[in-house]
Amino acid sequence: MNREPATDEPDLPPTVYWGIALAAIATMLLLGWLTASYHLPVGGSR
Amino acid sequence: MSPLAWVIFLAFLVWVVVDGVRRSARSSTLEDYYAGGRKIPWWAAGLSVMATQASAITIIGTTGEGHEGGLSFVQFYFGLPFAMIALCVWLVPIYRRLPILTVYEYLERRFDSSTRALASLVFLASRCLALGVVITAPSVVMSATLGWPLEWTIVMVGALTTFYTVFGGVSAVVWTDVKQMTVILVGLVICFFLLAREVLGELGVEGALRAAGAAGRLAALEVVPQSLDFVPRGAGETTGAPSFWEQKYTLWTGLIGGFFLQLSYFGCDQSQAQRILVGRDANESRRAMLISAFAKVPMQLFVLAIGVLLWLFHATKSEPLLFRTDDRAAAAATDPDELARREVEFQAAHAERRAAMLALPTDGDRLDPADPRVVRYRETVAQVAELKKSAAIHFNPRKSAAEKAEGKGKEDVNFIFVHWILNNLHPVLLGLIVAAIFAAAMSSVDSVLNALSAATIVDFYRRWWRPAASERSLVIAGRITTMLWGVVATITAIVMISGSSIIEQVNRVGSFFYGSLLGVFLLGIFVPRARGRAGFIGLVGGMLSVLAVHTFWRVEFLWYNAVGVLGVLLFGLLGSWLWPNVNADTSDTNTSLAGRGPSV
Repeated sequence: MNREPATDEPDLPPTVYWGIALAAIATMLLLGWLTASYHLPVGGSR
Repeated sequence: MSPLAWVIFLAFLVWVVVDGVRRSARSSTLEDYYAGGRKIPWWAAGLSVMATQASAITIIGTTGEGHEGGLSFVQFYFGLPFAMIALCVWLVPIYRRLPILTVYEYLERRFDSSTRALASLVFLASRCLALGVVITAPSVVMSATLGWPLEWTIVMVGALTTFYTVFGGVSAVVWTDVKQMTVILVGLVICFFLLAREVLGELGVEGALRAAGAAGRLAALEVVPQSLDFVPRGAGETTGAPSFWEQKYTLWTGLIGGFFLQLSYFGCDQSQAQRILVGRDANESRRAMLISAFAKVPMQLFVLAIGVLLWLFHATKSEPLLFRTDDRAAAAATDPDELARREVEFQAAHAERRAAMLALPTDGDRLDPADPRVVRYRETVAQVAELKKSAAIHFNPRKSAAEKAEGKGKEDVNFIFVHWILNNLHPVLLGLIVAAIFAAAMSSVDSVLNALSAATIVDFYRRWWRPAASERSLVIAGRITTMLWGVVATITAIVMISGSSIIEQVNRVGSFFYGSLLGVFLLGIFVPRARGRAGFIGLVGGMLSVLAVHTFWRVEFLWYNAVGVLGVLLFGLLGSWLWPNVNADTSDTNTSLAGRGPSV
């Protein structure tokens, strides 16, 4: 079956997606650092 | 509220409604009314997406969540950036290749009319109920705190939003959302700086981080789950330790469960996916969706950080025993002696916690949990929390004597932020923040109303009853439907006043369907052999899979989304084997990613 697309629209450059993925991972690492540096688990504080 | 705060608040409401209504002249065709003539700029569509997701509960509930639980809730959003990338790569090119007004139209082109009708019906039913929650929850808080009649608060949010959405369609939704999102962001930034000034002035940055961290408020990342037992407990099983699947916020529930939830919400829920259809081309749509990919996690972190700052503010300044002013007033009238006794005890504990906080060690790289000063501080934190919890249960007039005796529950976190703004802000700022809370409610309601109307008119009215109707009559029908959905949502919201447990149930019911909705779209994109009836079979099978998991095992609801996707793919494949090529000739050639290649 022929599946030629009706329009051929360009995609965003892959660097945009990589940038977002890396920014998300960097945010997680930052939060991991914050947690590791300052957080002390407390039972029953909630 | 003072007269000045009222003026600011009402001026904002008038501005939004007038701006929404004046866009009615530009909606003469269905494409104008439901897709903004495909001319809405990407940045406006992107801000509208964020405004829709930021409901009033995001402002008043998430700050309360940060106050009580710290930053851990942010993990719920970790899957979002990756979901947005998948959305841009998988779903956007397919939606934009087709001249569709609802995303469910895709399902008819790919499978058959029954799959489209069922998916659209699932959306209509689940979203209508959820819309009731979006209106009810902030109205309960605002009326309890400000003394406004609850029904009137609900009617005000419902009626005003319906009014401008009826006239202006999706253009009104997007452009009022832009204004509402601006007010929300300005309001949040002001709150952050006001709180930071107070807290950091007394504790300093390092001191604030240590005090919050030692109180358990900086657990932002839980990589190692509390349980690595992967065998789920039975639904009625209360013995034994909770399994891996019962933890709500960990890195893994956020990344995996959250990924499927967010992909379904932004890609398969018409109230959000509609914004994919309003831009000039696929790349405009991608840019709109990627604003959330960049901004949502930092924004959510920011809102939770306001909650943590608020906790530090209360710990360093003053804090009421009860944040719910209506509960306190009732307690003062019915049990004044007990209230006075508990308040004296609480203030003494509060003073001890403050002293212990200021005595925390400032030297060394990090706090030593065995240090007596840290131990003492953590004891006082737990003591204050226990006194507050006990009072919240004891003075809760909505709980029976038996429930109070059980001692389960806590104070409603939605009242913490509102209590602070009412007691600490200048009237101008108070008017602005109350406007921001209502803006958040309205920006979530308007999108859903327009989407409910789009699904009703495009997927049912035009598809089954009036396929030859003129554009003009369809737009009129669209406006009438928007109004009717507004009335239904407002009535649903009033009915929901009777109990917060209904709200939780509705949220859980919604998660029953989201994974399955996503699953049927993924089935269409990635499984070329699944055609015709396979979509319907897959969708029903996915929902039954979630129901089975819910009935037989204890599994946190975020996982339901992954279960729904897998269920649809499994049953869809099964259906494609049992009924190969049924209705295959009805399927469009531009409905799968495979269509981008030269031939398949």
